[in-house]
Order: sequence, then structure tokens, then C-alpha cells
Amino acid sequence: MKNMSKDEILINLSSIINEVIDASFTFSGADKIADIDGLDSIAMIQILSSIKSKFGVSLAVSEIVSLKTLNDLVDCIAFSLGEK
Amino acid sequence: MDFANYTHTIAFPFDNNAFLSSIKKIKRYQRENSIGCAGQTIRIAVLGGFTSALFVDCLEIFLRFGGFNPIFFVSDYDRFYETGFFDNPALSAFKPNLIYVMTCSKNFEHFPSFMDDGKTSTSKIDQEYLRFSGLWDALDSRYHCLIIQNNFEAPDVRYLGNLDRFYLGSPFYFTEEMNKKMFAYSMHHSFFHIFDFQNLQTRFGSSAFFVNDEWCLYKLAVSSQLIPTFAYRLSTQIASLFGRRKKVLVLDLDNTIWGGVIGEVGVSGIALGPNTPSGEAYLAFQRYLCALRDTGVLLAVASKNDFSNAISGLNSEYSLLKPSDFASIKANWENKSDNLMSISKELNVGLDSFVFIDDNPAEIDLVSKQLPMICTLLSLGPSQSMQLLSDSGFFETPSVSKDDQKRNEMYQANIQREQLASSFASYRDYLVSLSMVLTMDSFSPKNIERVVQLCNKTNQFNLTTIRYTEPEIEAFSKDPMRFCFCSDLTDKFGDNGIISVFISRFIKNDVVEIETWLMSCRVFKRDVELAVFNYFLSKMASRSIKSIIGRYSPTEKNKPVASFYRSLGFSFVKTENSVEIWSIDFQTALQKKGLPPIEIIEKDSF
Repeated sequence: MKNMSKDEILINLSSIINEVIDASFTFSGADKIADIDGLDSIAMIQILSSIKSKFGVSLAVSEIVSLKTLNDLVDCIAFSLGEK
Repeated sequence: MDFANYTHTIAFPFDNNAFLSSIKKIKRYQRENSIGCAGQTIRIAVLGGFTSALFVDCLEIFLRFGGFNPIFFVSDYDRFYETGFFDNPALSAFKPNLIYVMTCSKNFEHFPSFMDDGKTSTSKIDQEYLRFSGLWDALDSRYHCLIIQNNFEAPDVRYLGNLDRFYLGSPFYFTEEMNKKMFAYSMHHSFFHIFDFQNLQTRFGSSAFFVNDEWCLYKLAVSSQLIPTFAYRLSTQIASLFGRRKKVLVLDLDNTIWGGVIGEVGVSGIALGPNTPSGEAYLAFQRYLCALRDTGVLLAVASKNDFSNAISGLNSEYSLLKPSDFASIKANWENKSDNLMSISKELNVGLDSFVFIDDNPAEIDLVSKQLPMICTLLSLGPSQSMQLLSDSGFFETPSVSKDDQKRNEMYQANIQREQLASSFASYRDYLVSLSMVLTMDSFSPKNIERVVQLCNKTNQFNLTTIRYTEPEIEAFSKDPMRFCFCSDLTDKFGDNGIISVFISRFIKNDVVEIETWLMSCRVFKRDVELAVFNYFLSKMASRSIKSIIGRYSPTEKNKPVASFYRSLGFSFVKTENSVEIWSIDFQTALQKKGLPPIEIIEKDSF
């Protein structure tokens, strides 16, 4: 998990988002989080929970509120994985 | 999502993370498969002092999984007081059966300060309590329904250290006093029930219960990680209030209630008793099971064992559970599913009221597949089993009645009755030999708990399966347009407790309709229903009643009474919204009445 590339993180993250919002979208890293259909604050809570299960990292709410794109979230996960 | 995934994600013990990430899929699965739609509809108003959207989603999922059809009214964020206290046309139109006041200590308006003197601090507690009790009173007077209010969580931080608990101006002291007052309120108001927030906090730890960042960002007073558990626990409380408590706990023996395989190590070799850590743990688990038994849970055994070995284990020196504690013991080499079905038949209790616990994953898997209506728990050891049962909420109960406490005894007496029945050539001779006495009583505070319990959990001999809350039953007891009574049956083997509930309504001066008529499965085939009907006729005679209307609402479970009104001489009139309407002329009913060998006594309170 620690050596996961950012592309792999994005693939896993996409699968988590689709699971939570019950969709089958194809995401790119440049996609803005706020523009993803169905991704409200409640869904964001669920995604953080899934990130914890899948990647084993706990992102603090304060860490994610300033994120704009999926790439930002991927970076955040990659950074936390590197610190483990 | 397929059925296996769906069940695995929701059935207790579920994984909070997996649950949270699948909420939309679960909801879609439930919607597409109409899960819960045929179940009892409950209209739940959630008056929230903090964000409730995620919680309501989870609660709906669990209630549907439990066979209910919940419909929700959700107040605007942090408008719990205004929505509940003042007239609210939308809430009035919603007509709730249940209101959940979901608040936390952040909703206090008169929070103390360390600068307060004792008098000011006490006054603030009183003011805050008056604010909340005023809300509960207002809700009761407007909506006459069940109210659940959670108690308040202990503060997540300390100010004075150990002194917090006792210092008059501390948040800890304030919260504790509020909770004490809330408890006192619940003792005097039967419609009011407390959801134990503090147990959720202590069971999972303060840091798991509350995450300050989530409060700041989402106004969540319970962490997102715990919301499924929070909702699950409330769903089990609601299920118990509506009579869906599980009734039977079926236990494996070897490595479940004692350590080791008795057939191999003998009675002296099993781990049970105070002499080893393992034996002590099994003893503690047995003590827990004894406590469940004392609250009315029927215990049974399904074990792959020689019967004599099973009995010798239960009779061993340190076993707290003796053979007489079990309503049924199946110790043999048959398939466990067959044994469970046989126990169900013997006790006349549906398999959906069963919980089965076993240490063998293969047995759990088999039972789960063959009898999916049974809740199964895999035992990973006595301490874990105790915690699992505790967390499951399967045996949650809003009250413990005297009938609950002697339930095992009653089922034991039934076994004796069956043995006696086989010694008579004529069934009527057997009934006469029982010396049955049926005592009729009006609904009153001393029996209302049991009446509500029977209304909500009786499925087989229940002609309309209408469920009632305590406030509704209380209202019926005072309604001059209704004639209601309950019946207690005793015989030579003992007291069966209250076993029948009858609610009728005068729809015209000379026409009475039987709204609810139900009877406990424990007293089937004893002609009790004939005695109840005769008593009803005797009471109607003085009211110049000319005809009686009966209603039968067919369900999966009340097929045994499908022809009941016909057997009493009623004629079928029509079917209206899937409900069969039957009627009988009063004089005809008198002519056709049976003569059951049961003495009838009327309580003075009538």
C-alpha cells in the first residue's frame, strides 16, 4: 500500500466514490470535487470512512476541506501513506 | 448488490465502514426489492438538535431490514424545540407514531459557568430541565405518541480533573443532573423512553463517540464512524417498543456455554467454574444467559451431542444453567436446522424470533443459508459472545413484566400439560382436568405493559394484527365507545399470565365491531377463545346489541385463524381493502356459543 502510485490511488479512489454515490463514472485527477454529482457533505463523510478502510489512513476533516480536485485528494492520501 | 452482499453488509455484527460506504447501494437494493414495504408502517418524526441526514438514512435501512416500513418527518437543523413545542401544521399532518428528540449537550441553553454559585447553578439546571420537560409535555399533548429522547453525553474534555464530577458549576455535573431528571420523568410518563447515548459513549470510548472536527464542519454530535451503530441501536429500541423483541436464544453447548467437547473430555474435563481463567469466562457467560432468562428470553439447546452427555454437562457442579432453565433441549446428531425447526414447532414460536449462537462457522453458515430468518451469531469465545449478545440489541426490552420473568416456567408447565394430555382418551376430559380459570380485567396501569406487549408481538392468533402503542391503549381504556378487556389464565399447573386481549368498538347503538382479538400461542387448543367470546356476549347482552362485526386481515402468520369467525357462526360479508368483514346476529351468536370447561371470574376493577 505504501508503494502505491498516484495513478493506482486515483483508480481506488474512483471506485470508492462510485460505491458511495452509487454511480459508475470515470474520473480524472483534474475533476473538481465540488462538481461531482451526488458528492455532498454526507457522501464526503462516507468517502473518508472508506479511505480509512481501503488505504489505512485517517484523513482529518480539517485536511480535506481546502482540497479542490481529486488530484489534491490523491496527493493527500499519498502523503499520508508515505508517512506510515 | 446481491442478496448475500446486502445481508452481509447490514446484518449484525456489521462493519461500520463497509456500511457507510454502501448506503446508497443498500437503499437502492431495498427500494428495488420493496424491502419492508409490506411491514408495519411507523411514522417517525426526528426532531434534531444536530445534523440528522446520515443518521436517518441508516435508521431507515435498519428498520426496513427488520421488517418495518418507516416514513420520516425530519425537522430543520437545530429546530427541534420550535418544531416540537409550537403548533406545527406539517408535523400535525404527518401524524407521528413516534417522535425521536435527537439532542446533545450542545443544545443546552442554560449551560453553567464556573463563576456560578451553587444557587445559580441549580437554577440553571432547573431552567434547562423545564425547557426539555415542557417540550416532552407539549409533544405528548399534541401528538399522543411514543417519544424517545436520548440522554446527554458526558463532556468530552475535563476542566477541573476529578472534581468535574462533583463541582456544581461543571458541565459534567450539569449533564448528570439533567440525565437524572430525565430518568425521573420517564418513570412517571409511560409514553417517554430514553435512548442511552451515554452507553454508546462508554462502550466505544469518548474519542470514537465525538470528533470535534466533525462537529465544527458537519454539526455531527456523534462521529460519522459511529452513526451506523447509533442508528442500529435506536432501531432495536424501536423494534422492542413495537413488540419485535427476539424471544428465543438457542445455544450450542460444547465450546459455547462451556469449554471443551464433553463427549471427549467428560464432565470433569469441561472448562466451567472458578478454578481456571477459561472456566471463569464461561461461568460469566452463563451468568449473563441466566439474566436474559430472567427477563423473559426463552433459552433452548441445539447441540450435536448424546443427550445424556448434554444433560450431565448442564447438571455439572459449576453449571449455572440447569436442564430446567431450557424451554427445549435438542441434543442429538440431527441437522441443526432441523432441530431449530423442531424447537420452533414445540414452543409455537416463529423462527424469525430466534437467535442462534454456535462456535462452529460451518453450522452458522448452514443455518444462515437454510433458515435466513434466524439471527445467527458466531461464538468466538464466552467473553466475545457475551459482548456480541449485549451489542446486538436482540433482546432489548422497554420493560420487564411479571409474565416475562416467569416465561420459562410457563413453557415448562406446557410440557407437563402435553404429557398429561396424552394420558386422556378424550381431549375434553383433559381440558376439564386442567381446572382452568379465566380472569377478565379492564386495561389498567398494572397490566398495560403486558397488553401492549401482546398486541405488538402476537402474530398467529391475531385477527387484525393491528399494533398499538401504550398511549393508544391508555386512550382506549378511557373511551366510552370501546369495550376492552384482557384475560389471565390459571390452571392446575400454574398461572399463564395475561394471554388474551380483546378490543371492541360500538359503531352504532346496536352494532359492535371487534377491532382486535388476539391470544398468546401458549394457550392454543384450550378453548380459551370460546370462553372469551362467551364473556364478551354476556357483557353485550345488557347493551341491546343486535349484531357483531368481525374483521380478519390475512397475514403470512395468522393463517391458523383464517376460518375462526366461521367456526363461531359468523357469516362472510365482503372483503374491503384486503380485510375480510364477517358478521353475526347477536341472538344467533348466543345460540351457537360453545361450552368450554373454563370458569370465568371478573376482576373487581371492571
